[in-house]
Amino acid sequence: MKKPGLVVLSVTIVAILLGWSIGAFFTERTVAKMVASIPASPIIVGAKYDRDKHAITYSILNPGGTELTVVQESFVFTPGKNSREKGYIVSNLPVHVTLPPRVITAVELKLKAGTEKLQIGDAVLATFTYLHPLSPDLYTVVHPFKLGVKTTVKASKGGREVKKNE
Amino acid sequence: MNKERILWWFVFVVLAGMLILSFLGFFSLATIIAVNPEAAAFFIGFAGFWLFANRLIFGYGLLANTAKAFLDGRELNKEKIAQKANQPIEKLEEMGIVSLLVMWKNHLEPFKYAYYLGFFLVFTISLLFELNIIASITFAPIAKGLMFGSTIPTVIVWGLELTANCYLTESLNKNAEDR
Repeated sequence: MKKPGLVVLSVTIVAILLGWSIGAFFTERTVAKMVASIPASPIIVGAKYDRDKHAITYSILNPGGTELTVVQESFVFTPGKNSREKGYIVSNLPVHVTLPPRVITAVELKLKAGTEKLQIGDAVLATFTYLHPLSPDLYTVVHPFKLGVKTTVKASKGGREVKKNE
Repeated sequence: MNKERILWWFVFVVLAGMLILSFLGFFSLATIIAVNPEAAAFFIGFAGFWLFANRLIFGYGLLANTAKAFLDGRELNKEKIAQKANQPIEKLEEMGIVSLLVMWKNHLEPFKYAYYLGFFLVFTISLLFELNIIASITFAPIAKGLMFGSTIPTVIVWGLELTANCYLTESLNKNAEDR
Protein backbone atom coordinates (compact mmCIF):
# COMPACT_ATOMS: atom_id res chain seq x y z
CA MET A 1 0.00 0.00 0.00
CA LYS A 2 2.05 2.91 -1.25
CA LYS A 3 -0.42 5.65 -2.12
CA PRO A 4 -2.42 7.57 0.52
CA GLY A 5 -5.45 7.48 -1.76
CA LEU A 6 -5.58 3.68 -1.58
CA VAL A 7 -5.31 3.85 2.20
CA VAL A 8 -8.22 6.28 2.42
CA LEU A 9 -10.29 4.15 0.06
CA SER A 10 -9.72 0.85 1.87
CA VAL A 11 -10.27 2.37 5.32
CA THR A 12 -13.46 4.04 4.10
CA ILE A 13 -14.81 0.76 2.70
CA VAL A 14 -14.03 -1.10 5.93
CA ALA A 15 -15.57 1.71 8.02
CA ILE A 16 -18.78 1.70 5.95
CA LEU A 17 -19.09 -2.09 6.29
CA LEU A 18 -18.43 -1.84 10.02
CA GLY A 19 -21.05 0.87 10.51
CA TRP A 20 -23.49 -1.17 8.49
CA SER A 21 -22.94 -4.29 10.62
CA ILE A 22 -23.21 -2.34 13.88
CA GLY A 23 -26.47 -0.73 12.76
CA ALA A 24 -27.85 -4.07 11.57
CA PHE A 25 -26.82 -5.73 14.84
CA PHE A 26 -28.60 -3.24 17.07
CA THR A 27 -31.70 -3.11 14.83
CA GLU A 28 -31.89 -6.90 14.86
CA ARG A 29 -31.57 -7.05 18.64
CA THR A 30 -34.31 -4.43 19.13
CA VAL A 31 -36.71 -6.22 16.78
CA ALA A 32 -35.91 -9.63 18.29
CA LYS A 33 -36.66 -8.33 21.79
CA MET A 34 -39.90 -6.76 20.64
CA VAL A 35 -41.07 -9.92 18.85
CA ALA A 36 -40.12 -12.09 21.82
CA SER A 37 -42.49 -10.12 24.06
CA ILE A 38 -45.60 -10.53 21.88
CA PRO A 39 -47.88 -13.47 22.73
CA ALA A 40 -49.60 -15.04 19.75
CA SER A 41 -52.64 -17.25 19.46
CA PRO A 42 -51.85 -20.92 18.85
CA ILE A 43 -52.54 -22.42 15.43
CA ILE A 44 -53.64 -26.04 15.14
CA VAL A 45 -51.83 -27.32 12.08
CA GLY A 46 -52.91 -30.93 12.20
CA ALA A 47 -54.99 -33.52 14.02
CA LYS A 48 -54.57 -37.30 13.95
CA TYR A 49 -56.75 -40.00 15.47
CA ASP A 50 -54.88 -42.78 17.26
CA ARG A 51 -57.11 -45.88 17.16
CA ASP A 52 -55.20 -47.89 19.80
CA LYS A 53 -55.12 -45.13 22.41
CA HIS A 54 -58.59 -43.88 21.43
CA ALA A 55 -57.24 -40.34 21.42
CA ILE A 56 -56.74 -37.46 18.99
CA THR A 57 -53.29 -35.89 18.80
CA TYR A 58 -53.30 -32.23 17.80
CA SER A 59 -50.19 -30.49 16.45
CA ILE A 60 -50.31 -26.97 17.82
CA LEU A 61 -47.97 -24.26 16.58
CA ASN A 62 -47.17 -21.33 18.84
CA PRO A 63 -45.99 -18.61 16.41
CA GLY A 64 -45.35 -15.95 19.06
CA GLY A 65 -42.42 -15.20 21.30
CA THR A 66 -43.86 -16.10 24.69
CA GLU A 67 -44.86 -19.41 26.21
CA LEU A 68 -48.53 -20.36 26.20
CA THR A 69 -50.12 -22.80 28.60
CA VAL A 70 -53.10 -24.96 27.71
CA VAL A 71 -55.08 -25.29 30.93
CA GLN A 72 -58.33 -26.85 29.81
CA GLU A 73 -59.73 -29.09 27.09
CA SER A 74 -63.33 -29.77 26.20
CA PHE A 75 -64.92 -31.40 23.17
CA VAL A 76 -68.20 -32.23 21.53
CA PHE A 77 -68.55 -35.62 19.86
CA THR A 78 -71.02 -35.80 16.95
CA PRO A 79 -71.58 -39.26 15.43
CA GLY A 80 -71.51 -39.72 11.66
CA LYS A 81 -73.65 -42.05 9.55
CA ASN A 82 -71.51 -45.15 10.21
CA SER A 83 -71.43 -44.83 13.98
CA ARG A 84 -73.75 -46.46 16.49
CA GLU A 85 -72.45 -44.25 19.30
CA LYS A 86 -74.59 -41.40 20.61
CA GLY A 87 -73.30 -37.84 20.65
CA TYR A 88 -71.80 -36.57 23.91
CA ILE A 89 -70.05 -33.57 25.39
CA VAL A 90 -67.01 -33.65 27.66
CA SER A 91 -66.14 -30.30 29.18
CA ASN A 92 -63.45 -28.79 31.36
CA LEU A 93 -60.78 -31.49 31.33
CA PRO A 94 -57.99 -29.88 33.32
CA VAL A 95 -54.59 -30.24 31.62
CA HIS A 96 -51.29 -28.43 31.84
CA VAL A 97 -49.37 -28.35 28.58
CA THR A 98 -46.89 -25.58 27.85
CA LEU A 99 -46.42 -24.54 24.23
CA PRO A 100 -42.85 -23.24 23.78
CA PRO A 101 -42.46 -20.29 21.38
CA ARG A 102 -42.06 -20.92 17.65
CA VAL A 103 -42.34 -24.73 17.72
CA ILE A 104 -45.08 -27.26 17.07
CA THR A 105 -46.17 -29.16 20.16
CA ALA A 106 -48.22 -32.36 20.10
CA VAL A 107 -51.18 -32.24 22.49
CA GLU A 108 -53.22 -35.39 23.12
CA LEU A 109 -56.97 -35.33 23.67
CA LYS A 110 -58.31 -38.59 25.16
CA LEU A 111 -61.83 -39.46 24.06
CA LYS A 112 -64.35 -40.73 26.58
CA ALA A 113 -63.32 -44.11 27.93
CA GLY A 114 -65.60 -47.01 27.03
CA THR A 115 -67.00 -45.39 23.93
CA GLU A 116 -66.66 -46.94 20.49
CA LYS A 117 -63.71 -46.33 18.21
CA LEU A 118 -64.23 -43.43 15.82
CA GLN A 119 -65.77 -44.28 12.45
CA ILE A 120 -65.33 -42.36 9.23
CA GLY A 121 -67.59 -39.35 9.29
CA ASP A 122 -67.53 -38.88 13.06
CA ALA A 123 -66.80 -35.33 14.16
CA VAL A 124 -65.04 -34.00 17.24
CA LEU A 125 -65.20 -30.28 17.98
CA ALA A 126 -62.37 -29.61 20.42
CA THR A 127 -61.93 -26.43 22.46
CA PHE A 128 -58.57 -25.62 24.03
CA THR A 129 -58.40 -22.97 26.72
CA TYR A 130 -55.01 -21.33 27.11
CA LEU A 131 -53.24 -18.64 29.09
CA HIS A 132 -50.40 -16.32 28.21
CA PRO A 133 -48.03 -14.76 30.75
CA LEU A 134 -49.04 -11.12 30.24
CA SER A 135 -52.58 -11.30 31.64
CA PRO A 136 -54.73 -13.65 33.73
CA ASP A 137 -57.43 -13.83 31.00
CA LEU A 138 -58.48 -17.13 29.43
CA TYR A 139 -58.49 -17.55 25.65
CA THR A 140 -59.88 -20.38 23.59
CA VAL A 141 -59.17 -21.94 20.24
CA VAL A 142 -61.79 -24.22 18.69
CA HIS A 143 -60.90 -26.90 16.18
CA PRO A 144 -63.38 -29.03 14.21
CA PHE A 145 -62.17 -32.52 13.32
CA LYS A 146 -63.92 -35.03 11.09
CA LEU A 147 -62.40 -38.49 10.69
CA GLY A 148 -61.53 -39.32 7.09
CA VAL A 149 -62.01 -35.75 5.88
CA LYS A 150 -59.05 -33.51 5.32
CA THR A 151 -59.92 -30.14 6.76
CA THR A 152 -56.69 -28.91 8.18
CA VAL A 153 -54.09 -27.08 6.19
CA LYS A 154 -50.55 -28.36 6.43
CA ALA A 155 -48.75 -25.14 7.21
CA SER A 156 -45.84 -23.96 9.31
CA LYS A 157 -42.47 -23.73 7.69
CA GLY A 158 -39.55 -24.88 9.72
CA GLY A 159 -41.41 -25.63 12.92
CA ARG A 160 -39.73 -28.24 15.07
CA GLU A 161 -41.98 -31.09 16.24
CA VAL A 162 -41.96 -31.65 19.97
CA LYS A 163 -43.74 -34.64 21.47
CA LYS A 164 -45.57 -33.79 24.62
CA ASN A 165 -48.40 -35.64 26.22
CA GLU A 166 -50.88 -34.05 28.51
CA MET B 1 -0.72 17.18 30.16
CA ASN B 2 -0.95 16.60 26.44
CA LYS B 3 -4.03 15.61 24.48
CA GLU B 4 -3.13 11.91 24.45
CA ARG B 5 -3.09 11.61 28.23
CA ILE B 6 -6.16 13.82 28.68
CA LEU B 7 -8.19 11.60 26.34
CA TRP B 8 -6.85 8.43 27.98
CA TRP B 9 -7.80 9.60 31.45
CA PHE B 10 -11.19 10.79 30.26
CA VAL B 11 -12.08 7.38 28.76
CA PHE B 12 -10.61 5.64 31.79
CA VAL B 13 -12.66 7.67 34.27
CA VAL B 14 -15.89 7.18 32.30
CA LEU B 15 -15.35 3.41 32.00
CA ALA B 16 -14.17 2.92 35.58
CA GLY B 17 -16.98 5.11 36.89
CA MET B 18 -19.57 3.12 35.01
CA LEU B 19 -18.16 -0.23 36.13
CA ILE B 20 -17.75 0.79 39.78
CA LEU B 21 -21.24 2.32 39.95
CA SER B 22 -22.85 -0.77 38.45
CA PHE B 23 -20.87 -3.05 40.78
CA LEU B 24 -22.09 -1.00 43.73
CA GLY B 25 -25.62 -1.59 42.47
CA PHE B 26 -26.33 1.99 41.40
CA PHE B 27 -29.96 1.30 40.64
CA SER B 28 -30.81 3.06 37.38
CA LEU B 29 -27.49 2.20 35.74
CA ALA B 30 -27.81 -1.47 36.69
CA THR B 31 -31.35 -1.46 35.30
CA ILE B 32 -30.25 0.08 32.01
CA ILE B 33 -27.53 -2.55 31.68
CA ALA B 34 -29.95 -5.37 32.53
CA VAL B 35 -32.43 -4.19 29.90
CA ASN B 36 -29.78 -3.57 27.25
CA PRO B 37 -26.82 -5.85 27.96
CA GLU B 38 -25.44 -5.82 24.42
CA ALA B 39 -25.37 -2.01 24.30
CA ALA B 40 -23.47 -2.00 27.60
CA ALA B 41 -21.08 -4.63 26.22
CA PHE B 42 -20.63 -2.47 23.12
CA PHE B 43 -19.69 0.52 25.25
CA ILE B 44 -17.34 -1.50 27.48
CA GLY B 45 -15.66 -3.00 24.39
CA PHE B 46 -15.30 0.45 22.83
CA ALA B 47 -13.96 2.24 25.92
CA GLY B 48 -11.78 -0.66 27.08
CA PHE B 49 -10.14 -1.16 23.72
CA TRP B 50 -9.75 2.59 23.29
CA LEU B 51 -7.58 2.62 26.43
CA PHE B 52 -5.25 0.08 24.82
CA ALA B 53 -5.44 1.71 21.39
CA ASN B 54 -4.84 5.27 22.63
CA ARG B 55 -1.04 5.04 22.48
CA LEU B 56 -1.17 3.49 19.01
CA ILE B 57 -3.69 5.99 17.66
CA PHE B 58 -1.66 8.99 18.84
CA GLY B 59 1.65 7.28 17.99
CA TYR B 60 0.74 6.41 14.41
CA GLY B 61 -1.12 9.68 13.90
CA LEU B 62 1.86 11.78 15.03
CA LEU B 63 4.25 9.55 13.09
CA ALA B 64 2.23 10.08 9.89
CA ASN B 65 2.12 13.85 10.50
CA THR B 66 5.87 14.02 11.16
CA ALA B 67 6.74 11.96 8.10
CA LYS B 68 4.50 14.18 5.97
CA ALA B 69 6.16 17.29 7.41
CA PHE B 70 9.56 15.77 6.56
CA LEU B 71 8.35 15.07 3.00
CA ASP B 72 7.22 18.69 2.70
CA GLY B 73 10.68 19.78 3.76
CA ARG B 74 9.71 21.50 7.01
CA GLU B 75 12.15 21.94 9.90
CA LEU B 76 11.71 19.23 12.55
CA ASN B 77 12.78 19.06 16.16
CA LYS B 78 15.06 16.01 16.38
CA GLU B 79 14.97 15.87 20.17
CA LYS B 80 11.20 15.49 20.29
CA ILE B 81 11.26 12.66 17.75
CA ALA B 82 14.06 10.94 19.69
CA GLN B 83 11.94 11.18 22.81
CA LYS B 84 9.00 9.57 21.01
CA ALA B 85 11.24 6.83 19.59
CA ASN B 86 12.57 6.13 23.10
CA GLN B 87 16.17 6.85 22.02
CA PRO B 88 18.89 8.54 24.14
CA ILE B 89 19.60 12.13 23.11
CA GLU B 90 23.39 11.54 23.04
CA LYS B 91 23.12 9.57 19.79
CA LEU B 92 21.30 12.38 17.96
CA GLU B 93 24.37 13.65 16.10
CA GLU B 94 24.83 10.38 14.21
CA MET B 95 21.21 9.81 13.24
CA GLY B 96 19.11 11.36 10.52
CA ILE B 97 15.40 12.16 10.88
CA VAL B 98 14.27 9.17 8.79
CA SER B 99 16.17 6.66 10.90
CA LEU B 100 14.59 8.23 13.99
CA LEU B 101 11.17 7.85 12.38
CA VAL B 102 11.88 4.17 11.66
CA MET B 103 12.93 3.69 15.29
CA TRP B 104 9.73 5.40 16.40
CA LYS B 105 7.73 2.96 14.28
CA ASN B 106 9.66 -0.01 15.68
CA HIS B 107 9.04 1.29 19.18
CA LEU B 108 5.26 1.06 18.52
CA GLU B 109 5.48 -2.46 17.06
CA PRO B 110 5.11 -4.54 20.29
CA PHE B 111 2.11 -2.45 21.38
CA LYS B 112 0.53 -3.01 18.00
CA TYR B 113 0.95 -6.78 18.20
CA ALA B 114 -0.40 -6.96 21.76
CA TYR B 115 -3.38 -4.86 20.69
CA TYR B 116 -4.16 -6.96 17.63
CA LEU B 117 -3.84 -10.14 19.72
CA GLY B 118 -6.44 -8.81 22.17
CA PHE B 119 -8.78 -7.90 19.34
CA PHE B 120 -8.24 -11.29 17.70
CA LEU B 121 -9.23 -13.10 20.92
CA VAL B 122 -12.44 -11.06 21.27
CA PHE B 123 -13.21 -11.56 17.59
CA THR B 124 -12.62 -15.32 17.82
CA ILE B 125 -14.88 -15.68 20.86
CA SER B 126 -17.70 -13.82 19.14
CA LEU B 127 -17.13 -15.96 16.03
CA LEU B 128 -17.47 -19.13 18.13
CA PHE B 129 -20.87 -17.88 19.30
CA GLU B 130 -21.83 -16.70 15.82
CA LEU B 131 -21.10 -20.10 14.22
CA ASN B 132 -22.95 -21.85 17.07
CA ILE B 133 -19.82 -23.75 18.11
CA ILE B 134 -20.69 -22.48 21.58
CA ALA B 135 -24.48 -22.23 21.64
CA SER B 136 -25.95 -19.65 23.97
CA ILE B 137 -28.90 -17.34 23.36
CA THR B 138 -27.87 -15.11 26.28
CA PHE B 139 -24.16 -14.65 25.67
CA ALA B 140 -24.00 -14.63 21.87
CA PRO B 141 -25.36 -11.07 21.40
CA ILE B 142 -23.24 -9.82 24.32
CA ALA B 143 -20.05 -11.25 22.80
CA LYS B 144 -21.05 -9.76 19.46
CA GLY B 145 -21.71 -6.33 20.99
CA LEU B 146 -18.33 -6.42 22.75
CA MET B 147 -16.65 -7.33 19.47
CA PHE B 148 -18.38 -4.52 17.55
CA GLY B 149 -17.39 -2.01 20.23
CA SER B 150 -13.75 -3.09 20.05
CA THR B 151 -13.76 -2.99 16.24
CA ILE B 152 -14.10 0.81 16.10
CA PRO B 153 -10.72 1.67 17.74
CA THR B 154 -9.18 -1.24 15.82
CA VAL B 155 -10.23 0.21 12.46
CA ILE B 156 -8.83 3.61 13.52
CA VAL B 157 -5.52 2.02 14.55
CA TRP B 158 -5.36 0.03 11.34
CA GLY B 159 -6.06 3.07 9.14
CA LEU B 160 -3.52 5.27 10.92
CA GLU B 161 -0.93 2.49 10.78
CA LEU B 162 -1.40 2.18 7.01
CA THR B 163 -1.13 5.97 6.63
CA ALA B 164 2.01 6.14 8.77
CA ASN B 165 3.62 3.26 6.84
CA CYS B 166 2.74 4.91 3.57
CA TYR B 167 4.38 8.25 4.47
CA LEU B 168 7.32 6.48 6.10
CA THR B 169 8.02 4.52 2.91
CA GLU B 170 7.89 7.76 0.93
CA SER B 171 10.32 9.48 3.31
CA LEU B 172 12.69 6.50 3.03
CA ASN B 173 12.57 6.82 -0.76
CA LYS B 174 13.15 10.57 -0.53
CA ASN B 175 16.09 10.01 1.80
CA ALA B 176 17.62 7.49 -0.61
CA GLU B 177 17.25 9.96 -3.50
CA ASP B 178 18.89 12.78 -1.52
CA ARG B 179 22.05 10.79 -0.93
